[in-house]
Amino acid sequence: MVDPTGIVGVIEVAGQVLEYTSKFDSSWTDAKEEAKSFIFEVGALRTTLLRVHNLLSDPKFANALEKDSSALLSELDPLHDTDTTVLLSICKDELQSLLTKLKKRTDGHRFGWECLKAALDGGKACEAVENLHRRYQALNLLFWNDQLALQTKVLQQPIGIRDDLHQNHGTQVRQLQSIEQRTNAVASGVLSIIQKAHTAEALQKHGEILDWLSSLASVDYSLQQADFFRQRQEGTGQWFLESPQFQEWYFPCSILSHGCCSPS
Amino acid sequence: MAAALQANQVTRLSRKQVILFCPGMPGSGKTILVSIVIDYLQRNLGDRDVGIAYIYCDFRRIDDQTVEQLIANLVKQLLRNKCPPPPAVMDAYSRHQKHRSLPSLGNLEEMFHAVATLYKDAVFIIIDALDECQMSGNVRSKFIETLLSLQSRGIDINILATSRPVPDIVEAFDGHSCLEIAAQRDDIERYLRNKMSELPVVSKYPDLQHEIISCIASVADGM
Repeated sequence: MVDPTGIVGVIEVAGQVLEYTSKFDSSWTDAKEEAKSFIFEVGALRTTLLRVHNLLSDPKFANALEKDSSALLSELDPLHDTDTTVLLSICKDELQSLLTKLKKRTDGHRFGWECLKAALDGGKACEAVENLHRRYQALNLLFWNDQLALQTKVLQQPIGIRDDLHQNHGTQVRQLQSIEQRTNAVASGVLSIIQKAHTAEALQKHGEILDWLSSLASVDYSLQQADFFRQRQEGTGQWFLESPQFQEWYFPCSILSHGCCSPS
Repeated sequence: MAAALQANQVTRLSRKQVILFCPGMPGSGKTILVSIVIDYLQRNLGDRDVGIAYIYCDFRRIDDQTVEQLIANLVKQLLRNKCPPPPAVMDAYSRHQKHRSLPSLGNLEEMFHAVATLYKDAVFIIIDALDECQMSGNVRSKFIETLLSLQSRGIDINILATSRPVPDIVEAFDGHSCLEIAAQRDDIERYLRNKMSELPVVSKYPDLQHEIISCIASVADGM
């Protein structure tokens, strides 16, 4: 098992200490105050270490917390966090030596809590366990901070995604509109060029055909029209224009049906 | 035969009189009146989709008034305002250009109808002095026949024609609306009053003016 920080070693030894002291068959009330609090402390430390260890071994946790933004992970980085590693190492050593002493003393028939008390006296096990526990409680606090940050991040993510999507959507719509506008402009430009070409072609054809018809029938009667009309006396011919025969001829069905030009 | 006649009568009844024949004695002012009618149409129907084409027949110009030339001239006048030309006209033009041929009367009639149908509101054809169309080669009768047949193609072509009251022409327009052109006393008086200013001596004497006008008008009335 990979154990870069030595946390697993401490958990194991702490477990052994707890297991061994649980064999003390004399009553718990007989136990000395210091011995009792020490066992509490070792139990609590083991629980904390186990929890941290389980968390760290869970890949989901590591993925969720980005290393650079996680206070806990950056604290626990074995390359930089020499403090914790040293504390773990000391604690393990102290507990190990405590366990050895306990075993020696119980072999020498000095039994129970007295033995533990004696084993603790003059040793540094108590202090090492307390130091390590404090450290891990601090780490635990960092873990909760991380979790809070993570939760906030998770909550904010959909909003950010929504904003991004919204912005992207708006941009895409604008781009499409701009493309559509340009396409329309190009299309109408092409259409107008085609129309102009058609118009130019039609105009040319129109002129050619008029020339051809003029070659067949050269007289321009509009010259005579202008000449005769100039000779008329102002106001003459009114009787003709106002006659019922002329008005009937002048207002054919097609014009009447359009509802224009009332007879005058 | 009887059924055909009946159908023909129904058609006649349901349609407006679109042919107006105007006979008039020489000097009755037919030609000037035609120019007034043309001007009236051009001024009053300028905003409508209306085709107006006219011919002043002239006995001095018989070389320019074969039936084909007269119909071609009407087509030319009607086509002037219609661009692009209708396909039938384009095709006829291309065909005759290619074969260096002249269009027949039938071709020209087709072209006339192709152009005339482009006008949504109406087509007016005015022919002055049909009697000045030559009798030689049956030009006159063929032209009148062609003019009247322009009617029978489903589109109303309003035709106004003037002529001296010569028998063959009067007969040809028998059954159509007729309005005789005669010099009107009002018109004569108006004309003379206007001319008085050109007579320096007379212009000084209003009574003399009045006498001259009334004398000439009463003699010329209905000429």
